[in-house]
Amino acid sequence: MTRPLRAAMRAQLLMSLRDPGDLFPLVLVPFYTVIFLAIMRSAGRSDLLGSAVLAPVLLNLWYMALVVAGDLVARDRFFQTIELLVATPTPYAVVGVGRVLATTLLSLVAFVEAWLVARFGFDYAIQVHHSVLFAVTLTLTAVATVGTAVVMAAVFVVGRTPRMLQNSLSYPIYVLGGVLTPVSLLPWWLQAPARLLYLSWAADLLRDCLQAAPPRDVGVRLLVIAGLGIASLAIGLLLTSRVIDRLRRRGALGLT
Amino acid sequence: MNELAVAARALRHAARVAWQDFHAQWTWGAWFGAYVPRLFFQVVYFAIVGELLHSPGRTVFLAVGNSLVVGPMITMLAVQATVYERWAGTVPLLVAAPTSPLLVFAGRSVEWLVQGAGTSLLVFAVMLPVFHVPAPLPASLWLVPLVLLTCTSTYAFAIFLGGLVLRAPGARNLVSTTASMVVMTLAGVNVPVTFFPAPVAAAAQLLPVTHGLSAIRGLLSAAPAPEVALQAVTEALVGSGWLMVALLTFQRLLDGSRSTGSLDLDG
Repeated sequence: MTRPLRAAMRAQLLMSLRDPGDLFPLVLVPFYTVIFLAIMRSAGRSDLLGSAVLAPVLLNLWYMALVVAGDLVARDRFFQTIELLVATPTPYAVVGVGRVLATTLLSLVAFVEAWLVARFGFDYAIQVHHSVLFAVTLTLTAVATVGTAVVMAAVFVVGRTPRMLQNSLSYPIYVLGGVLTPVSLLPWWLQAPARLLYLSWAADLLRDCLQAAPPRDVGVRLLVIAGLGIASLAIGLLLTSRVIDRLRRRGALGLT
Repeated sequence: MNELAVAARALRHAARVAWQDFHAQWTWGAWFGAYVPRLFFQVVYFAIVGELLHSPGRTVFLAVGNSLVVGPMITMLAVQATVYERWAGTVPLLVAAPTSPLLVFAGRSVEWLVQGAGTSLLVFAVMLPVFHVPAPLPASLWLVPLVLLTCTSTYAFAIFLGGLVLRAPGARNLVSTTASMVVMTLAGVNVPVTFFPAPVAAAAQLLPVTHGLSAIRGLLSAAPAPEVALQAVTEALVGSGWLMVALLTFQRLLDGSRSTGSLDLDG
């Protein structure tokens, strides 16, 4: 199973590096970094500069997953490769996971962009006080993003207007995911759905890693991120296979 | 028929195409059910930073700036719409027609101007009370012409950019979104223009939105009317300037495509 996964990752990397559309979200990262850092610095809140650098990275992680998930099946239909992929012994969902994983890894380039803008535009070097935990959390966040993206890919195939969903699912998730501001600032009735999103747990823990004080309840919080990621991956794999089966039965697999 | 009537007719027909374009992509249900809530969340996303900073003044600043900028952001979609004409293969016919192609291009994306201004006003109507921004009536009704003015000057800028992407259709999303992000970053939406180094702040004066937003901030903070009017007039001048640039460059850009025989090539 790892060979098709690796092949799918490689194929997606090659496609993304040749298609400016896939890398397009990375163009937005420097702008968001400038905006967030400018807000914090103009308010004289140097303690929040780290959050301002982290936010565009998380934002980009989600947005790139959204873009690639929305185009996953559409692209295979456009290139007429979907029937061949479904006919192979590897489940289509595995190919999907590999491709989303490649994009998610690619999206971490945003961290370098945000760091460079902060360092040379604002003379600020982000300090990670708990670097091992930061790396573990970021890795789990990336894995959870893959799981969620696979769910979205299945939903986008069923939905008639994936572009509209792509456009509409950005800012609501940034708010509910606590990407820049903690979820605790939201009204109580939004906090419950926000806590169902892996991003809200991940953003809080990553921000805590920037503070000198040791983060609390680390084990539980990591487990929640991993749990939500695994649950969404399981749902995504199930949904994808159901959607593909439905398209096969209706003879609509290759229709664009 | 005199030239003015011909121009008005071309604009009217182009606007009908624009409207059909919008309906081919969006239903009202999808627009109000999915996209408009996303715009509400966009304003919340930025305005709530004011809460994080424990600064009601900043919350108001961010809420006003971001409620306005959704309008120009939507208007900027006119850049992409220009390329649809190229995809439809109608550009050579438009160039051959006696009416200026700029008239057609100015009209065929007008739906984004209408959508942008209307949606921004809707976002203002919902978000100002949410973030406790004082907007006393009837003075705040001046928001309507000021938002329309700001979106119109953005539209002139978008037509100019549309001319550029006619030469490089593959860059349409990049150009449109980058332009929106430049405006969002530098036009005083999230931090005052004066926060940036002097040369950047000076360049921001030439951007659409900068002065329109300043006029709106003045209106909502009960600044003297002449101050608000001055900013509004400056916004109108900036928009007129971009329209002039579009007029001067559009034909040249089309002539360039004619000379290379690439007018109807999809690229």
